Amino acid sequence: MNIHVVSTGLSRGKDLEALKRQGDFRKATHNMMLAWLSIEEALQPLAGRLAMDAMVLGSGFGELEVTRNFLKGLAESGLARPLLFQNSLHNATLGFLAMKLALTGPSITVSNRCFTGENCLEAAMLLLQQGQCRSCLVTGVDALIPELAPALNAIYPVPVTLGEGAATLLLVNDAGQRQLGLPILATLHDVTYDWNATGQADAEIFSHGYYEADAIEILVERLRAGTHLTGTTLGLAKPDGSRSIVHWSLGAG
Amino acid sequence: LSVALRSQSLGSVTAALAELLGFRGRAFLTSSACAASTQGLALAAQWLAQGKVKRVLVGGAEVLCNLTLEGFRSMQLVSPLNSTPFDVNRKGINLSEAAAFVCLEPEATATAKPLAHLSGFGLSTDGYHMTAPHPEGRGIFEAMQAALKSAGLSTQDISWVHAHGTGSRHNDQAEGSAIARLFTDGAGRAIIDGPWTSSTKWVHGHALGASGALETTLCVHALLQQTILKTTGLKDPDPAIGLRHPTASAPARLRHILKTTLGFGGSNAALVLSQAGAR
Repeated sequence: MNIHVVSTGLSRGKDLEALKRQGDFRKATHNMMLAWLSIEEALQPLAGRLAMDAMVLGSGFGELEVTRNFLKGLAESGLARPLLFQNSLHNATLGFLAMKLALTGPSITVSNRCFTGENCLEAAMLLLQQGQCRSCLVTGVDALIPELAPALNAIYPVPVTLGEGAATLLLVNDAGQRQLGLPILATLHDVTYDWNATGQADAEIFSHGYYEADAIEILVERLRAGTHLTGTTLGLAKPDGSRSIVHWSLGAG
Repeated sequence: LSVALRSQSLGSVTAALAELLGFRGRAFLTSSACAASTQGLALAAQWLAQGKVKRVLVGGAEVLCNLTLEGFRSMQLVSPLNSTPFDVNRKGINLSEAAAFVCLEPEATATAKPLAHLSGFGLSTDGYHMTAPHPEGRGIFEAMQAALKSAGLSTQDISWVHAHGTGSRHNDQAEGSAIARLFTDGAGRAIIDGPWTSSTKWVHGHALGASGALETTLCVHALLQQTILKTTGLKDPDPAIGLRHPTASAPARLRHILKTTLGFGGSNAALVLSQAGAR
């Protein structure tokens, strides 16, 4: 069973403030808005067809801002705000998006540090390969809070500039590709990990500002720039010195 | 705050366990609320089916903290008493913490005698509300159907449904409705000798993300001991739900169990667990 990338989306450069003024998003979290902006772009080739079966969303940092605000309110005033708690859950972003997309197939939230994006890809590939769905949105999203950078850089071997963002791939299996009829951008073969590897991390590669779910964004950027075609693997180095390798090829190859 | 932020990433647990156990292979963490560890079991089964790994250690862990306790209280979901799933007078959930793990292997290459089989699974989404399930349990109904289909079984093969059964009004109504609807004949009538349904959360509480793994291990032991577990604390079954509940934990002929979990955000997962040798 082949797994293909047929569309991509990025949140970078999009107007969050404009989105926040829309009714559905007035109470949405930063993660929810970032993720939606990338999904919206990835869905454009579908021209309004909400035809995807499943979704896998990954966030390494999770809903930090809302969690912090909930705890701050609890500590300062003794007041626990249910909406903040609801939105602080890791699965809240996916729940919000599932409602927007009228999703009824499998939906999974993933969070595994620097391998969050790769785990998302792998989960989606498993679902598609086993025929649990024909199409699957794969979104990696993370949002920053000011307190995070100094805390994380205290443990990384090399200081890293942190960032935030969201990116989405629309993956299909062969049946999904026939159903949606979109051109194949790339074919995914596997994801492998070497997350116990030791070695110096290269701080220069995180040019966009690193976030734990950024593997999806890197793949989208490489696809759009066409610079992944130096081979059939894309090695992604992590701040802690570990590595992942995405095995893929251009088009239907 | 700095120390907390450094280890706030959920994957820190996976990394720490892998280092402790000397694992250098694939590692994965799902955080889909109360469906998390059930989804983990389903994904692990797919890893094995794909031949990507030879065996998988899979489970769930959940610890309580003020964030969780105060959060659930703020949503008015916590019962002041022991929770009584499916009872007409149920008042909410009891939170708990737990950890449970199983080792999965393909039968063909198993290195030990199997305790049970993970025969099938189904995943779905409600897409209805951020925290409440679809009132008719539309999503969990589809997950249960998918689980039966993937196991190659019909409703008549199921002896016992170990439900998510949290004791919350919304969950038990929605899930119970879905279970009742699943076990009907072609004319929509309840199957007379339909399976028993129970929840064990009065005993061990609701362990949130770990509940799927914890209750799966209970199901495995139930299959080994051929014993159905009752819904402890259930005095007055809710007639609006209409399920068949065992009045005592007792010996029973158990071949296949349906295990369900429903998570905040609308993620649902169902498993079919089978007696060793029944497949």
